[in-house]
Amino acid sequence: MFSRALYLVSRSLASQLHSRAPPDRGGDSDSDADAEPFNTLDLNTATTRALALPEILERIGSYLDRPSLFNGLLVSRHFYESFLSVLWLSIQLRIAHPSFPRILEQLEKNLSRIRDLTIEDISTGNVGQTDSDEDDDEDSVDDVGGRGAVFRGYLHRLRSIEILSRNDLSLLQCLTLDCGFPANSASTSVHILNSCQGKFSGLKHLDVGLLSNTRDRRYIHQILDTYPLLESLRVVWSAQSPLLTEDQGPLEQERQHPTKRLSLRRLHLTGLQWPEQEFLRLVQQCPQLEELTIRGASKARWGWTISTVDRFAEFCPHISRLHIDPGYGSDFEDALLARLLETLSGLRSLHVPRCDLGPETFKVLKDRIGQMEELNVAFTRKPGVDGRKLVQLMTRARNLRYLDASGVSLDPWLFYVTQQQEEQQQQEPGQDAHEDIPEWGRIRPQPSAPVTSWACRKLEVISIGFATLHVNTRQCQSIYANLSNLPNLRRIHILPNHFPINFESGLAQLALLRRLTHFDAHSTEKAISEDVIKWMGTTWPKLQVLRLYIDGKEKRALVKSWLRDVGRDDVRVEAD
Amino acid sequence: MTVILVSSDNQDFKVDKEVAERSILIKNMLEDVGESDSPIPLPNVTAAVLTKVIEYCEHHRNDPVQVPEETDDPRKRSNDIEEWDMKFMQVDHEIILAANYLDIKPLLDVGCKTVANIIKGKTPEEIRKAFNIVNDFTPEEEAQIKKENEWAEDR
Repeated sequence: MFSRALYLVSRSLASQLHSRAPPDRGGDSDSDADAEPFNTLDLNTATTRALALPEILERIGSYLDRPSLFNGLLVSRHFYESFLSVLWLSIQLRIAHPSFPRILEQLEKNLSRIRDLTIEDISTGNVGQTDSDEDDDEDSVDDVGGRGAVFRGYLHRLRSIEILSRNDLSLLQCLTLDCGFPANSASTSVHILNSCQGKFSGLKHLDVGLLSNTRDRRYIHQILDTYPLLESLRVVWSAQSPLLTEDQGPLEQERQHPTKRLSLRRLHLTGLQWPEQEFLRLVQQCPQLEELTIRGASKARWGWTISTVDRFAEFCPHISRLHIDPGYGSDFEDALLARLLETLSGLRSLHVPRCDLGPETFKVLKDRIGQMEELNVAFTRKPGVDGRKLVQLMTRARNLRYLDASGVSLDPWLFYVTQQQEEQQQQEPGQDAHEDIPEWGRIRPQPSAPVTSWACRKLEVISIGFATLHVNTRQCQSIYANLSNLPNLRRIHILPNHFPINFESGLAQLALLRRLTHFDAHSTEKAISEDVIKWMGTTWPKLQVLRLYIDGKEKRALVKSWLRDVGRDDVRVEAD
Repeated sequence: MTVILVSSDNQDFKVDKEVAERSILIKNMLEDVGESDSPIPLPNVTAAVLTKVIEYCEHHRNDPVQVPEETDDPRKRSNDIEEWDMKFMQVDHEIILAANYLDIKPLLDVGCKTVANIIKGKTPEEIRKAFNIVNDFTPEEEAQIKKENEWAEDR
């Protein structure tokens, strides 16, 4: 009888699976499996045995969204135990949200289950500030005026801090504090960190967003001292925080032998300037650093030299990801960038938007591009920065997955390279092809000349823009042809004006991009026709987001209806 | 180099070492024991299931070995199952247990995602029906659980 029950389970399971099978499954397996139960299933062991193991059920739960977990809780005691742990593994406390009190009630007794905690507090933000679209509706219904919300938020904040500070939080691994800056009082982030000093002793990841405190570099050292196991730290100062400009004097523990933060792998600092001495003092303590992001304040002076870079590379030899954004109006010279590339031998990801990318850096990049997985040269400051050099890099970028060349003037003709020239480069590898590149701007292709595809076939994300206002049909054909040779593309962002998105210019070539999830051409300022939209919906099965030039709400609704006509309700349509 | 795996019902399977080592359990065993021709017994896995597991490992033999920290990050989980894997999983859920025992994380993930897709969107009663599970809660307990966890209901 027991076996028969299992047999029935296996049959019901079989039919469940087949009702969810993807539409392009082979016909054969369909009929076989429907006719008989799992041929290979040993009836003494069934899926229910797999589900009986808590670790397996927890793993299954980790793939479920909250509403599904909620339903799962009620299935049986066993499901309840497993799914409850999953439910509490990662928690967002949105202090200003009307539903906050409900979770607050359950917080204390479940604190020890939490490994990843995010605290969002915008109740101290500007009155006009809203959280997200969904919250908009709820807040407007609930809110009896700005004051009510702020007062409620204040009490909730106090209560949460109270709960946190009197409990053991040593099991928490990830903490994100996303607390908007208040007008007058101390920021929630700082309040929490101060009240819970030392409580988060197991913390591995700390993200303190939008700090309103005085921009003080010593704060970073303080955090690193308090949480020695930290592997990643992100601190974002708001641009409106007061800047401590006077000399901060020696750190509390001025060291001959600085403490080594051996666990720290990732450091992300936004909103603060790091002059040479301060920067070196910091990185000297982090020999295992793999990822560094520094986004400086606008119009600030960096004051770095070649020797800064050399010493940085010496202190942090394992750097593989580097993101330097000097902000608008700041300086970060070509020579420094080139030196960074030369000395950091493990570099795989380079983001240098708004830097002075010039000939020296390109020279080094030519040799290093083969190793790079990510390259961001958006809005580099040198005027007219050489699109041709960038395109040449693409013919060598075998491992590149991400490219952001927004704001780089690409001459559309660059996408034509005659077969002859490519062969020439291959035959003479010793020759420095960099010096030899012809004036491509002057070359016009033969009508039958084949298009060279870029080598970066692993590319997944691309953001490009073009120099000319109008890209003509033939130029488009080759641009689309080049893109179509990149089968792994997931996201395309096109940033020129008047770039045609239609079949006459060769859009249909992009049918090969089966993995495409995001298509963004919103700044092209050309309305897109119905058949193109429908083609996109049917041709790109994984499409999630279409960002287009759409004027007016009615037009957006129209586009959505076209997508619905081809069964693609799921595609999100975004417009500016 | 090949190794011999022996299922619970005493069938021998000859596989490439590289393929067998997709199972961390087997990999560790081989490292501990060192160079040896003796077959590796797998008392918890039947021949039928082992055939399927080997098929999976062969198909995925060139996949990069997943770094533990990446797979354990809940934020990175997605519900994209490769087409081949989806067809593969339809045949036998015993594979989940085998993948757990042999420590083949990618295969375990595919199995768990498949079951998760079954659970999604179902009411508790429908889930019970799907897996033939008995409800061992009293109505009062059910009500209390609902109340305590309603914050999760529509997030």
